Amino acid sequence: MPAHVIGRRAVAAIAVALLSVGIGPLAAHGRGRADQAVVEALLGGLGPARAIGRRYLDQAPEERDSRAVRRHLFGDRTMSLGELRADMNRRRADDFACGDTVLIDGWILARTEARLCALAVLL
Amino acid sequence: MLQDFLDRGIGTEIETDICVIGGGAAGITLALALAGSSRDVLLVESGGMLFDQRTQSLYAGDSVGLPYVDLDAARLRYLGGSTNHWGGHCRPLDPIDFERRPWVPHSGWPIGRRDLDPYYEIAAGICELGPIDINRIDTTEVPGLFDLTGDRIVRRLWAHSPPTRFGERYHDRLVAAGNVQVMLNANVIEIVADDPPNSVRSVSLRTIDGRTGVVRAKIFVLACGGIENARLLLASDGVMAGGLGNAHDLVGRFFADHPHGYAAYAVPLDSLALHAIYYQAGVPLNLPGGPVTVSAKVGLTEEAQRLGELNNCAIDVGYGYDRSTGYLALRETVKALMAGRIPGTLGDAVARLAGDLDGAAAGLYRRVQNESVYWFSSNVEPTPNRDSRVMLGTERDALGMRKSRLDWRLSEQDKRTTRAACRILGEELARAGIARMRLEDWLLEEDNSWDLAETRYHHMGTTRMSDDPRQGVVDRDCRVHGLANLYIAGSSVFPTSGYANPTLTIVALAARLADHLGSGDRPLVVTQSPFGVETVPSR
Repeated sequence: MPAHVIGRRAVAAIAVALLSVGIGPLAAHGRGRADQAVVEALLGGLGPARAIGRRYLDQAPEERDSRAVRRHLFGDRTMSLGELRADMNRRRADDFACGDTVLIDGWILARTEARLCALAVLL
Repeated sequence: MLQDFLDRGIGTEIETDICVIGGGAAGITLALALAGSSRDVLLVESGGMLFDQRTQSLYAGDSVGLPYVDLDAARLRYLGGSTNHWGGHCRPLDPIDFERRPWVPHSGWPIGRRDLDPYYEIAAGICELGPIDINRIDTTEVPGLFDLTGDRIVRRLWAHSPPTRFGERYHDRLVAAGNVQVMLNANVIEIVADDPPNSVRSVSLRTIDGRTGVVRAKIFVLACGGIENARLLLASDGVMAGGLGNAHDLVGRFFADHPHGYAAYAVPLDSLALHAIYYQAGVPLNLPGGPVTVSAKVGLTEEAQRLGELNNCAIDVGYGYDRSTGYLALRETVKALMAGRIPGTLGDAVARLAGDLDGAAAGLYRRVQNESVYWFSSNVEPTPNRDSRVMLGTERDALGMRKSRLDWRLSEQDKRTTRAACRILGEELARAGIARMRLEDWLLEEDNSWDLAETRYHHMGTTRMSDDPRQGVVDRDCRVHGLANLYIAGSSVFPTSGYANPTLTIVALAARLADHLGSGDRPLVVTQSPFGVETVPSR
């Protein structure tokens, strides 16, 4: 069993970040590209997310490819940050509903959340 | 009539129609149900009306399997039996519990839930649950209870008995029954069968002070509990090597209990909703027929069990001190240091603390603020396990009987179910935005290691029911295969154990057995009055 690195605050932060509102609109990002600012805005910060992301990538080394992760998360769509946040929330709920989750240090995370965190590492 | 075998004025040779051995929930239910029938009933109880240490010590034994509570603490040996320390939580087994499920080895009862439905109603009356529809308990409306029921999880309700202390509660009724004789302080030390062993001839009695006697009856019913039923059969090897009913080496095997360990904890996102799931203490309801108390847990739907090839399971949501790795390490270290010793696992504790400083800080903060956290423990249906068993040890008790030796085992499938059930609940809590769950370290290990907090005192499976003598000790009527007049009552006949507390099913099966033994005589209907349970003949 690896040492614990993921605290409850980190998980709570990720859980709440996608639900939060009021960060303000971000400039439209390019088609199929999510830059660091978008990920940071979605996650409410990169620090705790990166710890989770590193653990996820240890479990899923085949996803150590930022383009592949972007594609998983965003596809080819162009969306405002608000739309993106809503989309991520919906996909997270779908993940939980159908059991598409990962265990990171014992915490139950939606695949979408874990991939967003992985992107925070890969960018 | 109530008599005490210590009284030397009582004869040492007793004849009766039905001899019920053991005055716990099963034995007293049988005696109550047969009261007023045309059969003479003798209820033989090892203890008296109150706890006595010398008699209680007859339950002592050793344990060689998973850590288990001392065997003389896990049950009680006086009139009323273990109902004298019963918590009172009642719930029928689920229909799926009776099914043969290909993914649960040795599963399948020869009877179904519908066969027990009428007896669950009787049992609900005897256990004084109030006017709840026990066979549709999960449909009871509970105001304020947050319900996560969906495709994968479902709200499960328990009804609370006061709890009924059977010995005290039904003492007067037993005494008043003209055809029932209760014999206290009489230990059955051997069941004596004919040779060849086709039927039971008598049972041998001995008091703790050495007085002996014999009971001859047309029918004998063993109702001594999940460990003692097996022990007595195994010890009764006068005409059958290996013990009575043990032609196929099944007596004592398949011992089951519900493992109880802290499986997960949660960070609440919506404390009010999470708290509304936590109702273990019981919610008083005023139903049209009177007051009822219920509590809730979260269970797996049948669909989730079939899809995931999981055992049945329900999860407790509780509230207590912080369960994070960091805080537990801190707590363990501080407690050891305050007791004036350096913990042997100090290095490990420091590593765990350093690995979860966040959790340690949060736990410490909660401790100072006198706040608690939400934790989860599972009530998993244990997979029937042939190697989990009650045997006879080498030491002997004060009566000269070989003591019990328990080898309790669980299976990887039990742990897999616990892990999967917690994960599903964690997913549903997260989906609903109520909480985020973390599984405990021991549960993450994909092996058969367990971190058990305590046992449930639910002793089941050691004389399991099957129509096939090679698969079970008793048949569907609870009669021991191969013995015409020996029956068994109690949870030792459960082939599978579900997750529900067993007492209600024990009482239901005993009522069903009474119906069988009294068939052609006076089948029973139990009605409930505001003053208690009235047992009346149906015709």
